Amino acid sequence: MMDTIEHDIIIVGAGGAGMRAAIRIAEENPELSIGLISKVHPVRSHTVCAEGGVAAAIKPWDSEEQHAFDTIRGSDYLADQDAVEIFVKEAKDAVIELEHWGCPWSREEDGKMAVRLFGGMSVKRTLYAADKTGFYLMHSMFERSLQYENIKRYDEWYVTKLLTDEKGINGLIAIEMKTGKMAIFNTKAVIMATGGAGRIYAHSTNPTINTGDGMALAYEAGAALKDLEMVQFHPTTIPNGNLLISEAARGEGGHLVNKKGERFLKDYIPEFMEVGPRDLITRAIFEEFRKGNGFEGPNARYVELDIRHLGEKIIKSRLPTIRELSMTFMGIDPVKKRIPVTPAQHYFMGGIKTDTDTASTVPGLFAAGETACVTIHGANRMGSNSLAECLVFGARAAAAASAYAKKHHIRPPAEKQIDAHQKEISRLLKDTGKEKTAEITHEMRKTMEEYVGIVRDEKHLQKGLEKIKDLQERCERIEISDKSMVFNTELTQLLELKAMLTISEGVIISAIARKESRGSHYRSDYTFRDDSNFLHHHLIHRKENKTAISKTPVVITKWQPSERKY
Amino acid sequence: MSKNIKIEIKLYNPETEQISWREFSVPTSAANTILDALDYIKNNGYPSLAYRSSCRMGLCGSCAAIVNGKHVLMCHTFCRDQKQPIKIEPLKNFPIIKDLITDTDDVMNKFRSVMPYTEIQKRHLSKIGETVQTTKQRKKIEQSSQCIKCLLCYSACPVFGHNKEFIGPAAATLAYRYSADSHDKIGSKRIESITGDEGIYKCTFVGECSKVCPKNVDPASTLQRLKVMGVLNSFKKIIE
Amino acid sequence: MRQHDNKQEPLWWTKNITYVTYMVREGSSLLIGVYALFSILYILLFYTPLETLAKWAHPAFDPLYKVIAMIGLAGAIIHSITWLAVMPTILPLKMPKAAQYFITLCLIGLWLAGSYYLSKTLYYSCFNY
Repeated sequence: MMDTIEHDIIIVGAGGAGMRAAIRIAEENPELSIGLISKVHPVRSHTVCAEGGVAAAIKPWDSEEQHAFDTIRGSDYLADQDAVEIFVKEAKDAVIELEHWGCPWSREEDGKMAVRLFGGMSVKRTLYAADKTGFYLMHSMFERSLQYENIKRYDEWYVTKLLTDEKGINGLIAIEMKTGKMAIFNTKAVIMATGGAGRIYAHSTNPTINTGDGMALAYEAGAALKDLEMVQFHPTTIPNGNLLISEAARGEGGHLVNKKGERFLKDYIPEFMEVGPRDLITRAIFEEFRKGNGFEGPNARYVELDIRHLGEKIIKSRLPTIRELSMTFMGIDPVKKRIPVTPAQHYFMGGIKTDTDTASTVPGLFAAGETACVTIHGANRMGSNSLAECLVFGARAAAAASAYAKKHHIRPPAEKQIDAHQKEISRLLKDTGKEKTAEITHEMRKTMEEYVGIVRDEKHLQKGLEKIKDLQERCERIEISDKSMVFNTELTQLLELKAMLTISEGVIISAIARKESRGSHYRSDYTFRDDSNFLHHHLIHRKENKTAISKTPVVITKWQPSERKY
Repeated sequence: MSKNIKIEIKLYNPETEQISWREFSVPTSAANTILDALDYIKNNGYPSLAYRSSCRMGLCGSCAAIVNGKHVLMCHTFCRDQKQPIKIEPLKNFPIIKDLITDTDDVMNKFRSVMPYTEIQKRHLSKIGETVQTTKQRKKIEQSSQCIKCLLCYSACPVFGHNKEFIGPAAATLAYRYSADSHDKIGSKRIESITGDEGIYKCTFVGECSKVCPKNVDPASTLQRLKVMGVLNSFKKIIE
Repeated sequence: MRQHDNKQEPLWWTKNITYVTYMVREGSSLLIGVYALFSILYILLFYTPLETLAKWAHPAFDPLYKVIAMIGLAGAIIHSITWLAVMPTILPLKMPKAAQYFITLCLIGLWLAGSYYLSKTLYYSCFNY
């Protein structure tokens, strides 16, 4: 028999957004008990990899209005403008709060918080802590969370199912990896903060854990997923392993050059050059590759990033991680040589559909961070808006979930649902067949890269969908060799694969439906933005065991869509 | 360009409670890390291999292990630099759950005891606004705030190996990091929390923790500085 | 189904050079301890302190005491040098091996000079007495 654990609120995912939510609930509602479940230890979360910084309009030369406009223009007008207005307002308080907690922001000479320029932002707005902002942020929050007794952490517990009844969420099932035991969590509200699904691509800056589990769980529980076709490709990653070279390198003044030694962005975004938005730079690099102006490397084609002119002192003090990464993985010291860079998948703008209070379409289910889609990023995220999103919407999720939890009672989950799920897991362990998890994962990644990459068209998308459906079917014939439940990474990888395939399918279906080019979603058969037909979000949800797609309009308050110029 | 290398991994099977060494042959190129090699083994022929990995860029601290007797992060260690056969073992001093995975929960809980926060308070009013921290003040915490909690230092610390109650290098460094922060309001209370029976004075200054640290945090020197701070703090108490 | 208790091996200190020097460093303090205990006993039994100091260099002095003093001296030298060798590792800088050795050598030089000065001012005055 499974153990039953009870908490008022359960947060799944202990990265930036999840941790922020946990702290906010603990601060404001010490009487609520919080379960913080994560499949890795909190400080192993993907938030630590964020390099560049956090955008917030706290400087005198800046304004909320300007930050909002930059975000909306960057999103190619697909952002919900009411959400953006809330976001830019609350981001300011969030960063100051972090400062009081001891987050070591980089400082100007006078001791004030320093800001740097970031792609697509019209003024210097991005607060930073060297080029490890996410790392400092995550550790500051983790350490602060240790003072709250009512945050009970469940590190290395893998959530396998969200339990629902007709009134909404009432619990979940998770496996404790260390012992292999399954347990039922009874709860009033669940906050999903599980990050993105970047691992569906072969070339991604994401860690091995970003497999979209949270999105898939919510989807299975009946929540709608929004704008999945919007996948961001970061222009500058190291060809070996696709590790991120932060946009900060360009914000500080780095140049991108092609094989001919030209700063080729002058032909694409002459006014902003290297500090343009990511989607446009990625596409410019892709175009250079097509023209044959890229370098040929052993891992991939690439262009080069030149930061030598910044000088050794600035590189060492403001971009130490970039220097370390390129020295370790490429054997190149950026003080002396140019760094090879190539685009790779980086971020999911889409995710679980939520309103501005982070509530999803299932009562009692909330979502924040990369896994959610509020939408503030629209069709293209501005660099340094994602950490700010985690802070702002993590806190908002905390407020909304606490209010919800206070109004509702615990409802014990239905035995039938639990039994069925338990049988399902033991079936996975017992299944026989010739298929291998690693092979299918590899094929899925190749498919997504090839058919649903930076540039898409109808024919490729249809082919990709077919392949993914085929893989889903093959997925049922996987045999697991490890029969023990203790740290069975073979089992969790299979569960992750199933989640990734679900998300992949959603990505392709939404991409097929959007017959226009907007932000990161670029179609070679419809190269222009079409506001009259496509100024709306796509929702993916389950209908009678099939994936259905529907539309919902974009919220527009002050900024009417116009041509996006840089 | 790939050539085959030999890798030996120390495996622990929780079902039979047996430890065994197993040899694998892995095709690698000059660009491959130890972690890449483990991925290859897991994806080709030995899927039950258990190890932790996440960021692949030396920031999350998941893949700490002992490679050819050296404490390293596997994502930052290249196969080309290692003598064959490459021997991979789990961290020492931690109970092994399975293969390369160790149970680090007890040590992770030590971080709680050193009060790693600037103050105990409900919620900040942002009316206080931004505070000033000079570059000099920030420099003080520059090095000690780099800790990624990979726990290699605990594996290398013989004092911890002998006595699992010892506070240990990383937790002490965390205490120092907040004590040296200009935002800190806890002060001597934190110093008292680390100078107890199992506290910093148990450190006999072996120095290996600083040698294995992948982020050059230097817990050994931090511990010595804390000892001085601890002594000064007790003098202060006597005077008061 | 159980976790494997990953105990410290009894020979852990032979696994690398830092551990070995650490053990030597700690072990050498035993030698100093032997000397200290012996001297205290010796002095209590036979002499006043200054007399011992003045006489021990004399060829006719008790050979047993001389041997024990040599053991103590050896311990003191090993202990000091191994300590001085770990000093550069606690500086908050990552420096090349050569620089570390250089600092260690400087420290040893300082230590020798200090010892010389002390013996000159303190011990010689005893001899003269």
